[in-house]
Amino acid sequence: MDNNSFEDKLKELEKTVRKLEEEELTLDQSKILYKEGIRLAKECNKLLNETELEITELKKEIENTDLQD
Amino acid sequence: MSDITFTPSELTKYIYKKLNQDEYLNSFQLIGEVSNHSSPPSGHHYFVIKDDESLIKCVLFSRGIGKENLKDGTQIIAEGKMSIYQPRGEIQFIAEKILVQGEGTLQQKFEKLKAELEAQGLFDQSRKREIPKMPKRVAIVTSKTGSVIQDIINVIERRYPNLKLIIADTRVQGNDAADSIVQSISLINDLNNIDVIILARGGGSLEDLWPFNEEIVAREIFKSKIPVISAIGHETDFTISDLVADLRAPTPSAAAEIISPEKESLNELINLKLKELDISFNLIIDSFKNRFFMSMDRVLNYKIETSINNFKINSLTNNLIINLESKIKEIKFKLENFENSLNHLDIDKMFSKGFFLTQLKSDKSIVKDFKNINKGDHILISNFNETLEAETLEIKKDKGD
Repeated sequence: MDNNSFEDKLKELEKTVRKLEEEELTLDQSKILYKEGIRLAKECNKLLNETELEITELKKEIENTDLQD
Repeated sequence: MSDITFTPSELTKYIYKKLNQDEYLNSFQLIGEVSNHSSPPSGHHYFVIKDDESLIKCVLFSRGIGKENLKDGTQIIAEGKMSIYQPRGEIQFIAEKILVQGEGTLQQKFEKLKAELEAQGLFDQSRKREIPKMPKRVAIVTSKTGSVIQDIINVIERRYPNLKLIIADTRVQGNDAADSIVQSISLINDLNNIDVIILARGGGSLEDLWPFNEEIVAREIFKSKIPVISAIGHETDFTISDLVADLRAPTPSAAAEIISPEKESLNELINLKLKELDISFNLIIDSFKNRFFMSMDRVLNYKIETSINNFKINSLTNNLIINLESKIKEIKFKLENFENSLNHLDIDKMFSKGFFLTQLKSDKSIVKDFKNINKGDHILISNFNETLEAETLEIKKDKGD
């Protein structure tokens, strides 16, 4: 649903590392991947350590969903 | 044959002790039909519980519960323990509570529903779904006022706050609790964006936890499209909900731990990935460097060598010129020295052997013999660097004189 979750970012980071490890890349491509990896790691770190637990009630959640529909 | 002997009283005492120590016979339910019931004025009730093959003598003392259920022919469940009536050495069951069977105790209901649902495949391991390791949206079915929800929130906040909790405020005790639980699970399923449901309740008696043993709850859990973790009561409490759920957590806090990975280990994982990223990138850079250098090898080497050679040649030339000049000087010097050496060679040798050069002081002529030396002549006697002046006092013509 949202690609901004920690898990998605972590997965993307892992994918980036794997690409860098396994694929035949040009110098430019690997530079872009490297930068991308560092960006993702930073964002993961931020999400993990700076995010606060979001709590809501089912009633409100249903209302919001209905509004969206 | 063993040497052990007992008197009857010793034996009954021993059996009494053994019965009291036994973990099963010390407290259990005896199920069967009441027979030979009698209630003397003492207020105690004496009867037997029997089945088709055996009977056990029983007593319910006056303080016991459920006397009214003691009628011959009634199927009962008696809670109590085994003992021995010492005066007669008779084994008997001491009942504390008599329940009529068929009215259905909770335990029986539990066993019956468990057997039914099991037969229908509601507990099959094969249908258990995997619980997502890092769920983004977690619904908690529990009372929003209890300590359970606070425990769960505390654990998640400490471990992995990067998720959204949706609390479905639900009655978890009392007559309408089962309906409330069913409704919550159903509504959460309608939301269509929840990753996992935690069904939670704190500890309590079998009666307190009963809603989680209701069939409608079991069927709703079974129907749920979203994986369900049950976390009901303490570790020792087992409910039908636990059996139907995709996963049973021993406690609500444990359920919170299951859906929230530890922050520290995730931080470590990120650091590890960063390190791997660095290593890979450095390897790539190195390989490009190598390739670059390899392809540029000749050109670079040629250039470098040429310039090095140029430098070498230049310095060689310079050196040569400088060297040549000094060499020439050196050679000149050596030549002079050589001449000198040659000039002095014999004399030096002679000097070192104790011979001296003798000259006439007046004309510096070398004295080769004494023919021209007269008494009173001054002569110079020299080695290589010292000279001594001497006066001739006497000339002895004949050595033999």
